Amino acid sequence: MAEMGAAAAVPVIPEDVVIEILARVPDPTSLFRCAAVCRRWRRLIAEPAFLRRRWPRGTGGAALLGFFAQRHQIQANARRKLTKLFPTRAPALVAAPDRGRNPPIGLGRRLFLTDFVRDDGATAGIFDQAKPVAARGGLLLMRVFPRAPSPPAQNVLHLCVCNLLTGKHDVLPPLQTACFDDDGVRGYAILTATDHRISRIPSGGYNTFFQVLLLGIHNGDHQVYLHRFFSTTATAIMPPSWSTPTNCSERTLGRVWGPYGNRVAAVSNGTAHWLFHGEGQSLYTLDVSIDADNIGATKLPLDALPIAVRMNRSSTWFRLETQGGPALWFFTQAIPVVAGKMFLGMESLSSVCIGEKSGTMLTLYHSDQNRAYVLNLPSGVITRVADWKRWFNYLTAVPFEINWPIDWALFGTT
Amino acid sequence: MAAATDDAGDSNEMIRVVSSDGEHFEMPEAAANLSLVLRHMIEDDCADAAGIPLAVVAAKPLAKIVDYCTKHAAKSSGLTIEEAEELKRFDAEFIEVDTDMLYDLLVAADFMGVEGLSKLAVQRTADLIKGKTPEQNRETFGIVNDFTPEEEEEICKENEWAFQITKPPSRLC
Repeated sequence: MAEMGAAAAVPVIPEDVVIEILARVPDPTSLFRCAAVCRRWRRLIAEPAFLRRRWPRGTGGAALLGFFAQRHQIQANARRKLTKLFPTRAPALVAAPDRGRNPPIGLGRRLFLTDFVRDDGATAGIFDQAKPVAARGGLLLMRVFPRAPSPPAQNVLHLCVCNLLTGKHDVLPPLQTACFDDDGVRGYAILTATDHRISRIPSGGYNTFFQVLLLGIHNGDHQVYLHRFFSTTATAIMPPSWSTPTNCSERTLGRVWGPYGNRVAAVSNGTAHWLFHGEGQSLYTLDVSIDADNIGATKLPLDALPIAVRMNRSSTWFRLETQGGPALWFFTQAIPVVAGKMFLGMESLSSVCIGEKSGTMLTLYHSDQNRAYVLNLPSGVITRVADWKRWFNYLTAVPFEINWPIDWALFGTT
Repeated sequence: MAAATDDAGDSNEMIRVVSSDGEHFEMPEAAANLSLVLRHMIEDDCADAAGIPLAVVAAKPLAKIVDYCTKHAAKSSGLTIEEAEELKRFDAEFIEVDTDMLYDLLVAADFMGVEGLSKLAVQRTADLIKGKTPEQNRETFGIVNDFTPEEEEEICKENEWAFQITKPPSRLC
């Protein structure tokens, strides 16, 4: 019958037609979501032939979807023109360069956070002006500015965690920041259940299991404090809330400055790391274990500054990595940067943020913020981000990467 | 060309087709030729007054397909820019259908080998998939979540995203 319900009908669509449909799903996120719909779709997407079709060999970095970034505040007279380009004040997605082989994300229309996460109900408008601060494992951590109460309370930090796959978001309880020094939050980390290596089911009304770590320097004793938030609680009675701040300086560091470079922690083997300057130009990582209340510091055996965050004069990158077990940081290799003619000088090219999974770094010249480049760390290849526009605030750029549920090695990204 | 005779090769001849539920449709031969299956039948002289039976295509989608082919056959070659634009608009309007009809068109266009329509329906479906969560896609396309608990466990191990979408939300919603 023509009125046959789709429920019974869909399996009858020939396999090659389904493949054609999936091959035309425009953006990687949507395709990723398709792989989680049912076994048949997952099997078709995981097919090496299909993956090769979507990502022909040599188009490495497909794990990097792009960057979420907020716009600069704009003048009223420029507003009308930009309203057309930006129908929302939610963070926009800046597509990663993909060397022109894949259909670009969004196919002509800019995507916004609101294309991934529903912005309705009691918290509608929560993404307006939101500033992305960190992303990991499909979760995006943002600073948000709720309209109510009005006028907004002083010295309060509102954070929101979005799950871009399920399209849901959680607004965290507000955090009092009166004790923070003028720079506010110094370091961020967001962690997922994968980092914990054990299955954690969200509770306390949260959609997703996650943990948020914040570092702040106390305005009184100038010591580093860690604030921790779990979206789940051991006891079902109390709703999840911010932990009592832990003094890291007392336990480990002594007087430090930083974090140096990225505000967002590097996470490996269940530990989040931030880089700090200590007394006498020494360098430390502050190491916060994500499961236990275990905070340590590692002095880096380095004379020069670790350059994971800056390019040196001979145009090479030094990469720092943690190597299983205790977090030891060391130089791994110098990576020659394959620079095109458009580079006048290397010195001023600065790191904005690092995509750990895809090994990519967003960089730009502070003297020319109209243009941004993605540096592929393993290969040193640098590509201009065509989608980057001058009105993006690089301070809010956060790389957004996908962890495919299939064997990534199939892509042959070498 | 054999334009002077009234043979089956005459491009003005109307081709009759019969839907699975017994309804008769007519379209110009040029339109029928857009379907690979019908073209082969016509070439093999299987097109007679009784009509070509299409066992798996019901009347509702067949009416749409006849409509599509007739429109496209009338403007097949030497399109002006305006005509091409008009055809594009026609396609865009044509494919604005509910998911049941879209499904029927996908199956029928594939069965009948109407390439242009197949592409149109496939693209429309892909556009519908875009931006939806797995649960929304299951709803839209009536797909049953057939992952076993073991598979969900495996997804959970591999990837936190997949774990969260296949298990807890469906129970929380």
